[in-house]
This record gives sequence, C-alpha cells and structure tokens, in this order.
Amino acid sequence: MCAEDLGARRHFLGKPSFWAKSMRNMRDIIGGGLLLASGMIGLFIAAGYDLGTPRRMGAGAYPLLVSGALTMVSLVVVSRAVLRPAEGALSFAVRPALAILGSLMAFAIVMPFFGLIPAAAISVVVASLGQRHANPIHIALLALGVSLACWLVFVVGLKLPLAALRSPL
Amino acid sequence: MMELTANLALGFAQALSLTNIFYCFVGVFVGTLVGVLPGIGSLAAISMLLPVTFYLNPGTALVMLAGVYYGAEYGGSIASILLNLPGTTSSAVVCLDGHPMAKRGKAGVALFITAIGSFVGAMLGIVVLLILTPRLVDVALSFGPADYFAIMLLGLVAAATISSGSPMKGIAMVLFGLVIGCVGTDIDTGQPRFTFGLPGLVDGISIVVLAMGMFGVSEIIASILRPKEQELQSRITVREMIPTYGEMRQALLPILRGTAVGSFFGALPGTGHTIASFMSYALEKKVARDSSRFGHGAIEGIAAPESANNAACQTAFIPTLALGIPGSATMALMLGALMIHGITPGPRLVTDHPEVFWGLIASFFVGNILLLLLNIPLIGIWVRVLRIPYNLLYPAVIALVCIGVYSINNNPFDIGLLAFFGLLGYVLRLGGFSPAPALVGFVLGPMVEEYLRRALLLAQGDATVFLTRPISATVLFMAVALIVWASWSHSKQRRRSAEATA
Repeated sequence: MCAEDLGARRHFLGKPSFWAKSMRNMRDIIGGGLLLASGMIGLFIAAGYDLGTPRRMGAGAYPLLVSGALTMVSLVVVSRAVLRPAEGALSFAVRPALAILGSLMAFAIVMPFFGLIPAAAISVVVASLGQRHANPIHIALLALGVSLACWLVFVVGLKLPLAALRSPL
Repeated sequence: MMELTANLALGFAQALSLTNIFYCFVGVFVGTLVGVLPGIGSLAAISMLLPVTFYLNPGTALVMLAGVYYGAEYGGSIASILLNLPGTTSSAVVCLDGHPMAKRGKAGVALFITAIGSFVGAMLGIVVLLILTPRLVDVALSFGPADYFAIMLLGLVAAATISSGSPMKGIAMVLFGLVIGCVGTDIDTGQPRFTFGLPGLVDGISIVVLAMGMFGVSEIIASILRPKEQELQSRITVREMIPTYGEMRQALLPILRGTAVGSFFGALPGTGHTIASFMSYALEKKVARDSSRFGHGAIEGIAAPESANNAACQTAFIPTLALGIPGSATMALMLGALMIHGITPGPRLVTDHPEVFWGLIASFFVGNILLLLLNIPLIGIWVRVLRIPYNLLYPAVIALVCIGVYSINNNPFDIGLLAFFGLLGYVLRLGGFSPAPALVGFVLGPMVEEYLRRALLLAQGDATVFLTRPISATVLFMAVALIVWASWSHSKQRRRSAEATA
C-alpha cells in the first residue's frame, strides 16, 4: 500500500551495492518470515490439541489445517523472495515506531491507575516524540487540548464507563 | 401490489410522525459521529444508546437504533478516506482507494461519492428488502452448511485478491487472519486455543483491536516521517466537492453492482456488511478494464463497497425480522431491543405488529435521506480536518484509538495487543503484505470452522460432500477460477511493468 513510496536506493556510488541488493529481498523475507513463524507456531500448538475424527472435528483440527496452510504459503512467499529479488529498500521507521508503541504502553499503564485525562495526555506527549522537530509548547498544548476533548466526548458525551481522573490508591 | 402500497402507507404514516423523525435524526447524527471515531463502531454506539430506547415506543426505538447503525457506517468511511484509519471495520476497504483520492486532493469528491453510494445502496437495498423478503428467506434456507462453507471460501479467496500485491501474499494474509481467528475458546469443546496462558486471550481477540492495530496504528507509524504533499488551497469550493460528470458515470455501475453484492450478503445470515464491502471491492477490481488503478484512487473502489455496505445493512434486517435469526452481533442487539419491548421477531412479526415492521422499513427511507442531507454540507468541514498538520493530528488519533480500544473491556491487555498488531502490521506492510485480507480471514474464520464442522458432521465425515452438493461445487469452482484468474493477471502485470522499465 504505502510501502512502495518509500524510495528505493538501489545504487550507492553508481554501483548496485551489496546491501541494496540483499535488502531488496529483505522486506519480503522478513514479512514472509513472520507469517511463516506464526504458521509453524500454530502447527506446533495445534498438534497438541485433540484432533478428533473427520466426522467429529476436535478442537485442534481446524487450527492445524489453517496453520499448515499458512506455513506452506508463507514458505512459498519466502522462497520466492529469496530467489527473485523484490523492489524497494528497507527503511524501517524506528523513531516513529518506538514513539507510537511507547505511547500505547504509557496509556495502558496510566489509564487503570490515573484515569482517562492523564492517560490521554501522556499518550499524546509520547506519541509526539516520534516527530523530527518536536516543539515542546505545541506538544503540551496538544496534550491538554486532546485530553480535555476526549473527556468531553467519551465521558460526558457518550457516558462511557471510564474513569476521568482517579487516584492510584 | 395493493397490499404493498397499503403497508407502505401505514409505514410512512408511522415514520413521518414528528417523534420518529426526531429520533431518526438523533440516531443518524450520533451514529455518524461515533462512526468517525476510530475504534468505536456501530455495535458500541447501539449498545450505548440501547438504554435510551427503553422509554420510547418500540417502533421509535428501532428507528433510532437503525439510524445509528447506518449512520455509523457512513461515519466510518469518513475516517477511512481522510485518515486512512477505518472508523468502523467494514469501512476498512474504503481506505484502499479513498485515502489515495484524498491525498490527491479529491477528498471532497470521495466523501460525496460515498454519501451518494451509501444512499443509493441503502435505497435499493430497501427495495430488495421489500420485494425479495419471502423469496430470499427460501433461498437462504436451502443453503446447507457445505454451501455456506464454500461461500465463505469464495469470500476468503476474493479477499486475498483485493490487495494489489501478489495473490500469494494475499492468500498468506488471509490464512494469517484465519489463524488469529482461532485464538480464544473453541465453541464446541470449550477448549482454550492459542491462548498462551494469557487470560486476556481466552475470549479471543476483539476485531476492533485487530483492525485498529493492523490498519490504524501501522498506518500512523508509517506516516509520521513520510514527506507530506502540501496542498496550497485556500478554500475548498463547492465545485471541488462535487464529482465531475465523468466521475459520476464511472461510479454508477459500481454502485449498482455493489448494491447487488451487498443485498445478497446482507440477507445471508452470518455474513455481514464487512464481508459485503470487501467482496464488492474484489468484484470491482475483477470487472474493471484497468485493475491497476485500484489502490491508487479508483472511484469504483469506494463507490461499490459503500453501496454494498449500506445495502447489506438494510437487507440484514430480513433474516432478523422475518426469521428471528440475527445475522450479526448488531442485529442481535436490535433483536434484543425489540424483545425488551415485548415484541418477538420472527414470521409472526409482520402479521402481529405490522406498524413496527413497515414503520421500520419506511424509516429507512427517511433515515437515509436525513443522512444525505446531514452530511453533504458537512463534507467541507470534514475535508478541513485534512489540513490539520499531521504532527498535531496523529497524537490525537492515537489517544482516540487507545480510548476506543480500552473501552471495549477496560483491560490494559487489549492496548498491549493493539501495540503488538500495530508493530506486526507495520512490518508486514513494509513487506508488501496488505492487512485487509487478514481482517476478512479473521472475521470469517470462526464461521468457516463452524460450517466445516457441521458439513462434515452431516456428511458423516465424508469430505467429498463439498463437491457433490451442486451449490457448494459451483461456488468452489468459482473460487478456484478466481485464484487462477488473479495469479494470471498479476503475472501479466509484472511482465508488463518489467518490460516498461527495461
């Protein structure tokens, strides 16, 4: 979808660099590899469940089937990726990924203890750290505004059973 | 025919009462707002408003809830187009072409087309509802579990071919969705599967978490450092919002096809509007003259799924009201609302409480018109949301997603799952694996298993039943044909682009 517009730097100093060539496969391999791993884990676990008979399928039959299918198909994808190089370079956005994941973790930790408003504010702050040039004043204002707006919409407006502010004791 | 007109007259008399119009409006308005919020979809919105309906009479209650239902669907596509973040799971497919359209400055057009597509789809869906209710019920009843299984399989294959990448990757993602769908407790045996001893997984993974993670969070991670195209528009004129004549003409047939697909899948119990919108997208891609446009802002890619979505929303009431079988969780809520008021849906509903049934049908007309009237003027406002600098927008969206997900179970574990799927979705995206087929696999997975089990049980373990039953065999054949077709056209495309760059 949007991976294609991450630019491809195939040539370094005019020659296709070794890194560029092997990294061209890397995206497919890593993605396919993750799926392959999931499939194999699934196979391993599902085989431990009761499989039953075709007439009365047990708990493990269907998971085994789909995990097996996933394993086979992702094997095909990975082997194709190794044999036939794909396009584009690998550019994993490290800082945004860390910021977003950190923001989610912050929310998950703060929410049960301190309530909605602090949690929303913290998640906004941590998420904003993923930008290149983060202006602290903008971030602070945004955090304030978003948390108040969320409170208005979710707690006051929609009356969701979420604690707006809570003491951790 | 006379009877139909008399019934409709009764219905409209009900629907056009001031109380009903008012509550219809409230429902549609709240529904759209809630639909825009990522993570909170029509299901949550309806359950939140259910208590309000206790004090209303049953017809009005149903009218309001139905308004929330299709209002939320429309709101969901607003978020999909503007933010590439599905507001509701069924609008996930609108991200694929809606957001590229927005990036090219055609957000207003996209929103307009979705409004029109939704409206037409809903209207025609209502007509289908009226005309075909008795017949659809018969057809649906003649489908056995083996046939349902084959249809699900066709749906899965179609989903695999949605993404513009290689069909193999699509199939892999569908299978991944199927595997994820196994997480939880097996219904038949009560055995926890794939739960890794984590209590948060025993009830399975919420579809909201999966959708928000793999679509929303991964999208945000990918977008933060992406250079933004600056649009130097000082003001969006009404003219820019309205599609050109050519675009409308392009959208016409897809809308009709989408309505057909949506009406079919909506009426079939068990399949919902999510499946309808995905299948309609896949169909459009197959039928289009130049399918490489899909994924980059093809009008058909948003018009058809929206029509399918709304048509399915309407026809979903058929099995619910006529058979008392809710086709989806949302329909189950509607059933619940009716029963709270002492009305039992089923074949007796139409005869015992005609004013409820026909009032509801008529309110669909009214509600959809209200939806259109409400939202067209707001398109200008929605488009302005795009102009908010992304650096300010995305932290707010993250907070919204967190709250939406957290509100499902008040369990921080769900946020952890969200992060997991967000990261996974991002890495997979980098590799060219689209998340959409995984979502379909996840939604259909439990049903696929259920029908497989039942089919084999009825066939005494004989697996050839799928080939001996005519419906099942035909559908399976179509599925195979689809895979072959998709692989062929994909490799043709690869050869073409290889020749072009050589």
